Amino acid sequence: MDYFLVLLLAGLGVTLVGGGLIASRLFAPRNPGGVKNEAYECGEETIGSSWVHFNVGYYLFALIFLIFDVEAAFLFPWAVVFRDLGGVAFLEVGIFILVLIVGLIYAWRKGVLEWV
Amino acid sequence: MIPTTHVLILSAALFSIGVLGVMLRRNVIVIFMSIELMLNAVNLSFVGFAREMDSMTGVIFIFFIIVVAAAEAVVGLSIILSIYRNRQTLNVDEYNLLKW
Amino acid sequence: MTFVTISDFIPIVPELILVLTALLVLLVDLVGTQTGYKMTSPLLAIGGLCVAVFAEIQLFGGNRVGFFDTIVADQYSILFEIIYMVTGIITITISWHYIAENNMNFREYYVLMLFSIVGMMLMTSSLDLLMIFIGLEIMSISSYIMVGMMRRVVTANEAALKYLLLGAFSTGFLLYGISLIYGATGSTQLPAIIEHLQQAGAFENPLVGFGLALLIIGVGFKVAIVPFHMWTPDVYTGAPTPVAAFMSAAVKAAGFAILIRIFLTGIPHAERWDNMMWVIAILTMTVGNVMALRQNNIKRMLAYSSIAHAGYVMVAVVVGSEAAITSIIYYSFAYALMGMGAFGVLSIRSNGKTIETYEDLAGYAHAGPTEQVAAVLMSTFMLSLLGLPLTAGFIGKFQIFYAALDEGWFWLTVIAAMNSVISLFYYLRVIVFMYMKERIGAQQEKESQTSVSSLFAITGLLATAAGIVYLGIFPNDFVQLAQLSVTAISF
Repeated sequence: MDYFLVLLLAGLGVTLVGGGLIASRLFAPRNPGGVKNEAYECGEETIGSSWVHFNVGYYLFALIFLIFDVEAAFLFPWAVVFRDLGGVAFLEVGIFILVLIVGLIYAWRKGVLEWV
Repeated sequence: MIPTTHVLILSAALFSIGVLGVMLRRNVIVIFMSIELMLNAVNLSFVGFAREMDSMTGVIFIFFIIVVAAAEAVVGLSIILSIYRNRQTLNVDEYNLLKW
Repeated sequence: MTFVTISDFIPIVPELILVLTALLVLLVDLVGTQTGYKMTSPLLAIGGLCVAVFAEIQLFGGNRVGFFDTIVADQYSILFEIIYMVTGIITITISWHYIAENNMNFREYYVLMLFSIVGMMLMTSSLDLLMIFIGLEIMSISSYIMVGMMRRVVTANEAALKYLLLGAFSTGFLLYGISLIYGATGSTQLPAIIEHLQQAGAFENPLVGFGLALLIIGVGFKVAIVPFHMWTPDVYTGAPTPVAAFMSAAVKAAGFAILIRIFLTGIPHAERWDNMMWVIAILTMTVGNVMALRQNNIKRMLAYSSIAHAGYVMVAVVVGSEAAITSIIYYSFAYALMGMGAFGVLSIRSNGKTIETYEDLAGYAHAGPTEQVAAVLMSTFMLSLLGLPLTAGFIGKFQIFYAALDEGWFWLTVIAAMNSVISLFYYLRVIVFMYMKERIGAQQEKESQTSVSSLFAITGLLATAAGIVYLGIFPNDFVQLAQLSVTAISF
């Protein structure tokens, strides 16, 4: 009796999944090729193949970008309540940005921003 | 409004997916992404708790998690790049010079 | 609206000094010429560390708090911070030689080490889980880079990658633990959390148990207790030797510092906690010692031995009494010196080659004047790691065992003692190889050169050995300091 339930469940599972697949085969309109095979790039049409290798030099820019990207996460909430916080907070954010700028200068002097 | 329990369940599920990803996947980049997923699951649970208790501490915590995750990503990707240059592979099973 | 005032910065003056020193070293590197940096950076870094130690001593006893009670400069944190900085100074003395010998011309090395120490200091002096997390990450991220500095060396890459992946993985657990604790108690401030957990029935909330367990996993990875120790041998072997020394000493001490701060300052311990922790302690000791026996690579042996020593400290964590916490502080300092010393000797090149296996050590004691001194130092460190009387290792173990017996942990103490007997074999093996084996192969020894940098390293190691012997013969001063610092944190 118990095993009958298992069998029933298994049968039901196979029917539902298989039935779904078969049904979509039978009824769904198929229209392969064309625009569907193109890479999606934020709605823009791609120019050339999207399987090109990026120059590894980009990677240093990416790493530096990441830092300044996250910096924005800190600046945004501050900017929202800028008027309420006033001068001291402005000074603190200034110090924060200054530290990051020093980092950027360091990277610059180290030749990270040179294109090789 | 979504109950806090649901948020927590989702966060626990994401965290588990992250942990499983770290343990099961063999590509370093995917492992790294799984770790980021774990951190983001934590962020979600912080949001859930913070909203439940109406406290800002949790939200502030998230900012720092995001920053630390970014710093870790920068260092991590650099290390992955340098090991790829030397070994020409991203499969963790092939990084086997140090054992026992 | 409350703002930070100048007085808030007083407790973190030592940290600020170190940050400024680090920035100065960076700046010198930027404007300096190629020839000057080799000596200026390490000397600047040592100078900054000395000034910061001086500042800590001025702060001692002040119990200053700042930043809305999230940072506290009590005796406990100051003592640990001085331990980190002393290990930092010793690391720099041995690094200079290693960097010169291995052409590891990455000038950010000292900067990263200073930042790593700043991270540890913030982590130790913080009373808020948020600050603890940030400090932990400053420390960890700096050390990921330090491990992988020699990026052309494949083993270093691999070590850095393993350390990074497992470190970040453990950070995930730590954070999830913090978030659950936050959810259960409504705060990330330790005093508030402890107060909340001391109420009756606080542990009925399942979040609390889960959260604490996840926190232990997170911290356990950093101090390498046994189920979470797998990265240690690989990372210590692949990392540059001074970095391995730094990690085994300072990073571990920092891990134990927050372990004490979080778990032993008033969170009530259920029966389950005790059961879990003593199993971990026994596993850590035994796995560390047994695996150390099988190693042929000395750095790997030292890595496993550092796991074993973490196991002895875990015994004290299980006991958790005031005497036990005192012994943890003492042992952290003692182990920092012994571990640094042992790795430090390995970082000195002998006849133009690095020592890796036991065979490389054969006849080491007779190879030249530098090696003769180094062999005596290595023997001191080994005997101290072993726990021979008159060394710091003996007093440390004695205190831990005594504290454990005092609280009735008889079998745990017996197992710990048996473990120290096992460790006899592999520590003595080092001494036997250095003094009693002949150097294998042809004896075409060129006149071994004693460079200035190796003299610098030897000086640092001599100071370390002197410290070990001093702590072993006159332990009372430091023990009193440790007791004083325990009274600062026990509620």
